[in-house]
Amino acid sequence: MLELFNKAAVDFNGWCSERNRFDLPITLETPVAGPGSPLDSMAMVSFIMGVEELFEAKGISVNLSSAEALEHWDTFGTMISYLEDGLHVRV
Amino acid sequence: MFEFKNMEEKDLLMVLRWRTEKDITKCLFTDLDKPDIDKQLAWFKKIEADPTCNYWVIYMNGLPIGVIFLTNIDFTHKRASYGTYIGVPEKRRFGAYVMPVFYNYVFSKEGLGLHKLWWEVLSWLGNVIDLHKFHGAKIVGTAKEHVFKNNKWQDVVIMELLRDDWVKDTRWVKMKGVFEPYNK
Repeated sequence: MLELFNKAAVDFNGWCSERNRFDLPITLETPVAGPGSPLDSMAMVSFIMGVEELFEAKGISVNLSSAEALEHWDTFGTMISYLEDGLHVRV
Repeated sequence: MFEFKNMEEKDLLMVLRWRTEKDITKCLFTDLDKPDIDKQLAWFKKIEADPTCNYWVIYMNGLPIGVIFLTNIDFTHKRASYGTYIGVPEKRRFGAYVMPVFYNYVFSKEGLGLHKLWWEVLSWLGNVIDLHKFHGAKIVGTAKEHVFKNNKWQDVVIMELLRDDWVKDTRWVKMKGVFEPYNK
């Protein structure tokens, strides 16, 4: 799971660079968005979609974008816990 | 679940509170002049009777978080303009998810079956414009000195999103919500 997260973080930094916006070192402790988070709403969506696409590439369908799922984590670390514990997904 | 319920009188105080908050009103063309609930009620009666507009309160997992609305609804040409704001500060991060849910509704045949949405944004709101572009919208023009706000003239960017462009980007397909239908 961590490997997948790191890949998503690298992809996300590429996404940021393409837009000349910022190059953020996403860590497990990074708040997903809102106060204390360097990510705005669009960046959050982009990162989460990137994670979903990496899962899909491995043949695993996850929906992190539903309203129910979105409120289950504050940081990317807790997002991984949600995936592992709530959805019983291991990569 | 994202739910979109037609605005009712019971929502007006909450909506007025959101609408007059500094972080919201700075992004809108007008600031309300001495806002009070009576004026808000008069505004609501007007829009309630107007078939060219519809206002929904956005709910996220049962909690009201913001407003989204269509104006200039034209079913002949299948187009409308729209606007939205998330009133609950800690839910603003979910704004980028609300828009795709809304687009899926207004462009679908089961929803409103529109062909085009268009809207205007104050030109200095770069992050908002970028977010719309991220969803596939295009800038189609700039209206110079279009709005007088905070004692100065401000430019306005005109944006639009065509149904065909929206459905081409399949990343958003799964973002669905439950809508109380437009019923005017």
